[in-house]
Amino acid sequence: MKIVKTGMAGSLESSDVLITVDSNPGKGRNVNLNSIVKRQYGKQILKVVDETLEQLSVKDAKIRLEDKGALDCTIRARLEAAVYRAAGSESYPWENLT
Amino acid sequence: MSAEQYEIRTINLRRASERNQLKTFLLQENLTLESDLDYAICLMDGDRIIGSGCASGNVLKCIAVDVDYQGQALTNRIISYLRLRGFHEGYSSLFLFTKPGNETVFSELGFFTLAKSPDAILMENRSDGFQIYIDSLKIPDDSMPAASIVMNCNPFTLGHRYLIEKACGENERVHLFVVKEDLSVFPFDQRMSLIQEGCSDLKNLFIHEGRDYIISHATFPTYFIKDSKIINDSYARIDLDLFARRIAPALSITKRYVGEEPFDVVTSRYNQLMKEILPENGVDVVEIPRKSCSDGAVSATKVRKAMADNRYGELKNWVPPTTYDFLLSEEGQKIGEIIKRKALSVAKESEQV
Repeated sequence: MKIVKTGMAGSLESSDVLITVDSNPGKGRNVNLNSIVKRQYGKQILKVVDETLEQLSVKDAKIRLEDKGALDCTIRARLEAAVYRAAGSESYPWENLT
Repeated sequence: MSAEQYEIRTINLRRASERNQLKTFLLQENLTLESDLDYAICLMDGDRIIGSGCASGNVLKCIAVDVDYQGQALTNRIISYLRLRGFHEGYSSLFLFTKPGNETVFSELGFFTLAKSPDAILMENRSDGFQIYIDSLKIPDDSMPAASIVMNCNPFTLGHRYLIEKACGENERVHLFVVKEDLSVFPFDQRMSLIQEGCSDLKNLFIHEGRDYIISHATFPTYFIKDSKIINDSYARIDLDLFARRIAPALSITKRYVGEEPFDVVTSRYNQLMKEILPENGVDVVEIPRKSCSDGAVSATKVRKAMADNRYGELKNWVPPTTYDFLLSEEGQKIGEIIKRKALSVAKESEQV
């Protein structure tokens, strides 16, 4: 997916994460993580971010995360939402959660 | 009690009752309700305000939480709300004013410190905003020492030209920053093109947009509400700190030229603080007396006054031919009409008083 504008999702409340996705044409992925549990889970969070971006085939993007202890599923959901917004996409591939 | 039960309410700043309630709350938190706010929310416990967050365009300020309610991460809720709102309004970055003691609170919420003064700090919600601005200036070999000027040019006069010429004559390279904020009668694009036309012969002059980081809504809001004559040192200090510690080193600026300011109190206080703050950081301030003509010093205020009084003939003595032609053009006349109307309404108001 191609990032064309700024996309944002999430919040700064406890157990959530605020993610901002910006365009970064031709310069790859630039992930900036700020987390209250960076020392404990930093690597795991970055792994989730990387996997999610891979799945969404995002090549160039600036991503900022301000994490307040979000679980992996929350990070994934917020990141997907922010990426879709930043790509200006109106159609979402809704998943069945059952 | 859980934090979720407190309701977030948008305040209608035009309604006196709501405005006053917010004002009282802020006062109790040692903050003043500033006149340029265009958006405000409050956290409510029943009818009582327990927290607030306000915005003026992309600048967040007047953020406070009642001391009885601290420790419940209510600031996070306020900031989340304001940031989403900023995003929906289309701002690419948000600035925030706060007291120095709150720096850690907001840095944990994703804000980075841009500039400091003894009683206020300015933060931005991205760390690369400033660098993006500097890169966008596209300056060849930015290690070459240079002088600088910051101007509004509302509109460009022979006085401005005089100061620029002097700086260009005494320095190998001069950076001229034009105040970007569109709060003057002459719109930014117009001011910019009049400067470019009026200075096209000066080859060592680099003209830049000032944007958010130089005398802007973010760094120096009270500069734009001059009529109220509010002299707020903290804002002036923030603007100068940002210039001295970020802009000057990034562009190898060693001097700042400034015109003497005998009339306007806000600008003259700003110049005074400049002489105090910039030299400490290795930037010399060069103050140049105003260029004078047969009838006193040239100033943009004088030009606007003459336009208001329909004395277009006199303008020739004060502005370069490029500006003069513009003032007589259709577009220039339109701005003249706006100035006349403004002058008229000011006169009416003072009659009533």
